[in-house]
Amino acid sequence: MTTPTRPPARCRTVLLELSRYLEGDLTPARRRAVERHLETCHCCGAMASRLLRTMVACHAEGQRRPPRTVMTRAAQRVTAVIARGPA
Amino acid sequence: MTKTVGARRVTKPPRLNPVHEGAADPARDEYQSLVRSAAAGDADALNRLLMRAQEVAWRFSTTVCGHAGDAEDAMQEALIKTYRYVGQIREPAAFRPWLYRTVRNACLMGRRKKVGEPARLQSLDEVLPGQDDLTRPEAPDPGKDPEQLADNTRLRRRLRTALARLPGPYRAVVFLREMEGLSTREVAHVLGISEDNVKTRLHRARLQLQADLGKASK
Repeated sequence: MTTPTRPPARCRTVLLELSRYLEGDLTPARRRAVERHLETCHCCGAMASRLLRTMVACHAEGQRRPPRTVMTRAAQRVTAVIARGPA
Repeated sequence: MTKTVGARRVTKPPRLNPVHEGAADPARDEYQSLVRSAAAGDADALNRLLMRAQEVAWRFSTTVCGHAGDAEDAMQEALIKTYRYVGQIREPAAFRPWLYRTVRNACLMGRRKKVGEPARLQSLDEVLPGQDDLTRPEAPDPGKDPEQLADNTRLRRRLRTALARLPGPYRAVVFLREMEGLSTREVAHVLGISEDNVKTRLHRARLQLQADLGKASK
């Protein structure tokens, strides 16, 4: 069994900041530092691409709508509650 | 061996459309308008608000509750509470956080402990890639842009599986911040945690999700 070794210190620092970088939440100085690193480090650049892809997929998942049957059952239950009057 | 350093320069990732604190948010404005009208007795606005609440409650409950039956119950409870609560709303901006808390509480109330759900949060060392992963990077596919990939049915199925494997606290943060577009501050308010905690959980969750998606695609 191989034990994964830790990434180099510089990569580790960048990996910790990738989410904030992708959200535009870093200071200008840190953003430039991360960008410089991503331009030269293929590994961190690939990780940034995968994180971005994950974020985009999550955004798309947020557009999901309930199936019609679920909506119908919910409407029936709410209608029944409304018909019964205030709790 | 051909020297390839610099030959495959990584393009700077494009920025997503981030939700900046305090930025204008059409969804938020629309909610507030609907809540105001519904509270004033506008039946059409109430209907539309319930429809919106239903979609949000369903997404949240299916993502957070996991089990479809529990999720539907939680969604229905939240809808009924919305119907009863809307006339008492004095602060329309408070509606969305209230709705998320209501669905979350309904989920927690009805939730049965599921076998296989991670019982603890992971340390960053566990979710950060090891050196082995870093030396075998998965090259970005230049033929597909992120939007196309997000539309891919297989990717979405894998994402749902990966989401289900996340610890509950991470899943809730991903849902609120990533899927619903709440600001960090709003997520912190809904979940009762600090903004730093939101950012940390979100980053760890993203790392775990991308790792799971990577494994699933191999």
